[in-house]
Amino acid sequence: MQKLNLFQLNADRVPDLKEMFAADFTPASAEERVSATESRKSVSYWRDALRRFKQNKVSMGALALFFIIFLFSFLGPMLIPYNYADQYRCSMKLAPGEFSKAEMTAKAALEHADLIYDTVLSPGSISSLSRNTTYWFRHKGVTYSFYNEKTLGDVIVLFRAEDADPLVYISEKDAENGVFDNITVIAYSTENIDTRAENTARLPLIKSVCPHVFGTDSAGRDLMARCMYGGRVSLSIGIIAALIVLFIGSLYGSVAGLIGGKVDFIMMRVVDIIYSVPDVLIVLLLQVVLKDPLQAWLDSSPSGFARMMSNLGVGIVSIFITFACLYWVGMSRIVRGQVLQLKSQEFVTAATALGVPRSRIVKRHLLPNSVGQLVIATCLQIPSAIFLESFLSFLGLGVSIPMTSLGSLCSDALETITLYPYRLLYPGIILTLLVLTLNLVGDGIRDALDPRLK
Amino acid sequence: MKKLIEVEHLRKYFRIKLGTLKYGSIQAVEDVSFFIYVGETLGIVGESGCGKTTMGRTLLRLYNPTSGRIVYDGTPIYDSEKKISVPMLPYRKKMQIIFQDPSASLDPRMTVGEIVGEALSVHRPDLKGKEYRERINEMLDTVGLNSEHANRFPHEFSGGQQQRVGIARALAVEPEFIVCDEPISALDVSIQSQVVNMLEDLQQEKHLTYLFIAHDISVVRHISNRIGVMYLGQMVELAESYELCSQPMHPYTKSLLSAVPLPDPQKTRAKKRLILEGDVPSPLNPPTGCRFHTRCPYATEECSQRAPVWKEYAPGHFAACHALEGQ
Amino acid sequence: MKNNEKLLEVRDLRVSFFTHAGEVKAVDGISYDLGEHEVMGIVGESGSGKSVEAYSIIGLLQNPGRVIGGSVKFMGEDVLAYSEEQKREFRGNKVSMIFQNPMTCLNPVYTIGNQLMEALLCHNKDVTRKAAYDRAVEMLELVGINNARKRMRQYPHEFSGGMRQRAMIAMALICSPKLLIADEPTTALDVTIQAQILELMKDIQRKTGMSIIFITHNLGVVAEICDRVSVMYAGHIVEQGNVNDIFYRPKHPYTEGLLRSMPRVDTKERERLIPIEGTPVDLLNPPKGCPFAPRCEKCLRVCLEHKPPFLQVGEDAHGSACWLHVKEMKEAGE
Repeated sequence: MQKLNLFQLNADRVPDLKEMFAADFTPASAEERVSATESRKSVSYWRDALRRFKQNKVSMGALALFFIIFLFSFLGPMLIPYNYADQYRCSMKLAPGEFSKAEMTAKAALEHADLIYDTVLSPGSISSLSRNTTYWFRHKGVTYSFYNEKTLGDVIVLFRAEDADPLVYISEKDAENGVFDNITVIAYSTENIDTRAENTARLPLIKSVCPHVFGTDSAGRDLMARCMYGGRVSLSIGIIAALIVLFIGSLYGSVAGLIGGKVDFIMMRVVDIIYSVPDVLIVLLLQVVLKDPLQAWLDSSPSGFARMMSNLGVGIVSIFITFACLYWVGMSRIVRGQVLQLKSQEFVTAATALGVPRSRIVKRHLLPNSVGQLVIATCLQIPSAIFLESFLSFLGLGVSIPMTSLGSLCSDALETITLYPYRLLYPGIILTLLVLTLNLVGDGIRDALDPRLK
Repeated sequence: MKKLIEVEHLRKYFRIKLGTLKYGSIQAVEDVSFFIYVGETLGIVGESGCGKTTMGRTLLRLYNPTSGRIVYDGTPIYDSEKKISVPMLPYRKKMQIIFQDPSASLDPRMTVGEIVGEALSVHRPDLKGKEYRERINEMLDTVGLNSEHANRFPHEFSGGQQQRVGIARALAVEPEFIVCDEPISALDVSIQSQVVNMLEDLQQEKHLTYLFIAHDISVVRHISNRIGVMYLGQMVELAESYELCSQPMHPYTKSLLSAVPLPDPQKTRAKKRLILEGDVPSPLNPPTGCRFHTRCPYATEECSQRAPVWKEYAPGHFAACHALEGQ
Repeated sequence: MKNNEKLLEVRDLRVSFFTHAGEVKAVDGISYDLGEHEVMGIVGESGSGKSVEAYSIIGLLQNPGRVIGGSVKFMGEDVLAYSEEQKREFRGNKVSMIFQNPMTCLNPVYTIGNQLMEALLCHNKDVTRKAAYDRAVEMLELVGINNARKRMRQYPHEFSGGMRQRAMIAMALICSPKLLIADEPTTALDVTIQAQILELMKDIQRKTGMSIIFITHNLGVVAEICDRVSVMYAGHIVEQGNVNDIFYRPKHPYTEGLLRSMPRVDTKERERLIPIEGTPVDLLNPPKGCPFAPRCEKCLRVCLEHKPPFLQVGEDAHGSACWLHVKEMKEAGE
C-alpha cells in the first residue's frame, strides 16, 4: 500500500526508505518550532523608497549631473580667476579657449620668464603709477625699473624679468567702468630709480594665463564665469520660487480640502479663475507695473529686509511676487487632491472614531502622509520656475544688470548668434540640462515613492 | 437583561450627484430598529449593498443619521424628532470600532506603538512616560503581540497581526461596546478562527458588547447570540442565532442559508438550493413595497405595493414578510 | 485513478520570483494529474502558490517570476517549452482562464459582444463574423444571460457583478477549450450570486465535459464542485486526493486543522473553534524542513530539518506529505 512516490520524479529526489526510517521522530517543543522561523529585518518606507530610487539608473544619472551643475555654479567661481562682471577689454569676443593678442603676449612673456611680478596699484595711493615717474623692483639682486608716462589707477603690471630686453606691460582698470583696458607696453629703463613699486609680490596665481574656456563676450567678460554665476542665480531663484509656491499652495489646498463643502467650492473656483488667466500676459504686466514702484519703495525703505531686497534687484523681487500671485495654484490642486484622498482613508476614520481632535489628525495623519507628494511636486516645480525666470530674463524683464542669469545670457547671445554661436550654446545647454535633470529626478522620486510600483 | 443599545427607525441616506444639477439619494439604511443587550453579540449579516457597514458606522455617529433615534445605556445620543444630538467625544471612549481592512485602517507612517497610544493620548492624557508605555505594552500583550513589536510599522506585519493591532487600538480606551465591521473577511482562513477566538475571549474578560457585521453567515452564527439579516438597507429578520439558521422565516434568509456551501461534500451536494434569480437592485432606486419582491420566489401583487410590517412571529424572532402575515 | 486519459500532467513544477529582497519560492516542486471531465480544486491561502502555478500553466507568468524547473504536459505536449506564438494559440483555445475580478478583466470601452467575438475570431481565421456573432449569442444564453442579443450591444459597466462573471465565463468557453482554469471566480461575489455561478459551472461542465482547475481558499466551494482536491501550503502540495477522502479522511495536519477551524451553519452545538496557531509562512525565509512545521502541533524534530516525502496514504491516489506517515510506516513494520 505504501508506494514511495506517486509520480515519476527524478531518482535523486526520492528519499531512500532506510534513510527515512533513521530520522528523529521525537516531538519538537514549542520553542524549537518558534526558533525555526526567523523574522525578516524591518525596512522602513523611506529606506525602501531610497532603494527603489537608487535602482533607477536614469534618475541616479540625472541626480549626479545635477550635482555637477550645482557644484559648477556654486563652487566653480573659486576655481577660475575671472569674475562675472570684470571686463577685460583686451580679451573681447574670444572664442572658447582662444587667447586674445594681449593674453597671448602675456602668455609668451610667461613662457620666456621664470616669474611674473604682479603689481596691483590701487588708485589714490602713492603706489599708483604717477606720470613721469620711474618705478623699480628688485629681483635676485638685480634692480629693475620702469618709467611711466601716464597716470594710471588700478593696474596689473606684468614684467618679464629675466630678459636682456625686458618689457613691461600694464593692464589698466578703469575705476568707473571696472574694465581692464588693453595691455600696453610702457617704457622701461634701468636708470632713474625713483619710486618703489608698491605691493610687488610674486603671485603664483598669475603663473599662467587662464584660458577662457567658454570664450568671452563683446565686453570682454569671461563666459564661463558668467555661466557659473548665471547658474547660481537661476537655481536660487528656482528653489526660492518653488518654496514660495509650496508654502502658499499647500496652505491654501489643505484648508480647502479639509474644510470641504461650500468653502472648498469657492476656493477652488478662485483657483480655476487664476488658472485660466493667460499667465504670460499677467506676468509681463506685473513685471512692467511693479518695476518702478518697487524700486521707489526699496530705495526709500530703511528696513534691513528692504536692503536685502534691493541688493537682489527689482527684477528678481518682482519675479518672486509674480510667483506668489500666480503659480501656487497648481500646487494647491495637488495638495487638495492629496488631502481629499487621505481624508477618505480608513485610518483617518479610525482616528475620528477614537475621538482624536481634527487638528491632531491633520498634524499626525494627513501631513506626514502627504510628504511624498509634496516633495515630488516641489521638485518638479523648480525646473518650471527656472524656466519661467529664464523666459522673463530673456525678454529683459527679469534680472537686471549687472546680475545675470542663464536666460539673460541667452538673450544677450541672440544679437550675435551668427558670428558667435557658442555664446548661446553654453548657457542654453546648461539651462536645458538643469531643467532636464530636475525633471528626471522628480520623476524618479515619484516612482520611488509610489507604492503601487512595488 | 439591560439594553445597552437601542435603535429606532434609523435612516441614513446619501445624497449623490447624478448629473450637473440632478441629485439622487442612496437609501443605504432604511427604517431599521433593533436593540442590543449588555454583554451580548448581535450579528448582522447581509450581502453587498445591504447597508450593514453604513449602519454600524451610523450607530457610532461616524456618519450623521438622516433620521431616527439612538439610545446608549439609557441616554439618547441622537434623536431627530426631539432634535437631540450630543457631542460624541465622551462616547468615543465607550463605543469603538474594528475595521475590515487592517492595512487601510492603520496609518502606514506611524509605528504600532504610536497607533495604539494615540487613543490613550486623547482619552487618558494623564498617562505619561513609563505608565503610558506600560499601558501600550499591556494592550499589545492582550492581543497576542509583544512589546518589541511596538516600534515596527504596520506593513511589516501579516494581515492577522495587523488586525490584532487594530483590536488593541480599540481596546486601549477601555470601551464597553465594539462594532466589529467585517473584522475577519480580509484575513486568511487559518487566521480567521484565531481572531474569532480572541474576540470571544476578550468579550468574556472585559464584559464587552459586540455588533458583529459580516457577510459570512457561518462565522456570524458561531460568534453571535442573535442575528439580524439585512437586505437593501432594511432588516428582514432578527432572531436567536441557532433558531435563525435552523428555522428561518424570511425567504431571503432561507435562500441565504441554502446558498452557503458547506465543507462537507455529501451534505452540500444533497442540499436543496433556493436559488434567487437576478442581482441585487441598486440602492439608488429600490423596488417599491417590499424591497425583496423582485427576487422573491413567493412574491405576490401585494408585495410590490405595500411594505411588510416588522412583527414578532415567535418569542424574540422578528421578521417582515407578507407571506408570514397570513399565518 | 479513473481510467481517463491524462489531460494535464504537472511534474515537479518550480516557480520562483526573483525580487530585490531575494528569491521567493512561490511554487516549490508540485505534481498532479488531471483527467478529462474532471474538476480539480486547488485550495490554499495567500502565499500558497495556487494562483502562480495556474498562471505558469497557461503561460501568463510575468517578471520577476520564472519557471525554474519541472514540466507541464497538456495532452502530451510540454507547454512550458512552447514558443510565444504557440502559447498564444494555446491560450483561449485549448485552455482558458477566468479571473477573480470580472470588472478589471473586461475592457470597458468595447461591448460585450465585441469582446466575445474577438476571442473566437483570434483563434479561427475561417469563421465569418456572422457565425462568430451567432456563436457569441449562443454562449451568452448558455451562461444564463437573458435577452442575449440585446446584451451583446451593452458595455461591461451596464452589467451587474454576477452577470459580468457569467460574461467572462462565456468568453472563456467560446472556443470550446478542453481545460478551464478558474482563479477564485466566486471570491468577490455575494454568496447568493456565488451559488448561481457554481450551479452554472457545474451545469456547463456536465454539458461540455471539459475539465476545470478551480482555485479557491473556500473549502465549502471545493466540497460543492470538485472531484479531486490538492491542498497547497507555501508552494507545496501537502495533501491530494478525491474530494471525499480529503474532507472525511484528511491525513495531513494542515488539512485537518483547516477543517477543524471552520465554523459551520449546520452544527448543533456552539463549540469553540480550534484554530491553527501561528502566522503564514514568509516565503523569503521559508523554514528549512516542512513549511507547515512551525505551526503544526504534531511537529516532530525531523519536520524542522528535512522536507517530508510525498506518500500515498489511501486509495484513489490519496497522497500526503508528512513525516507522521513515515513514522507510522516504521512502527507498522516493527
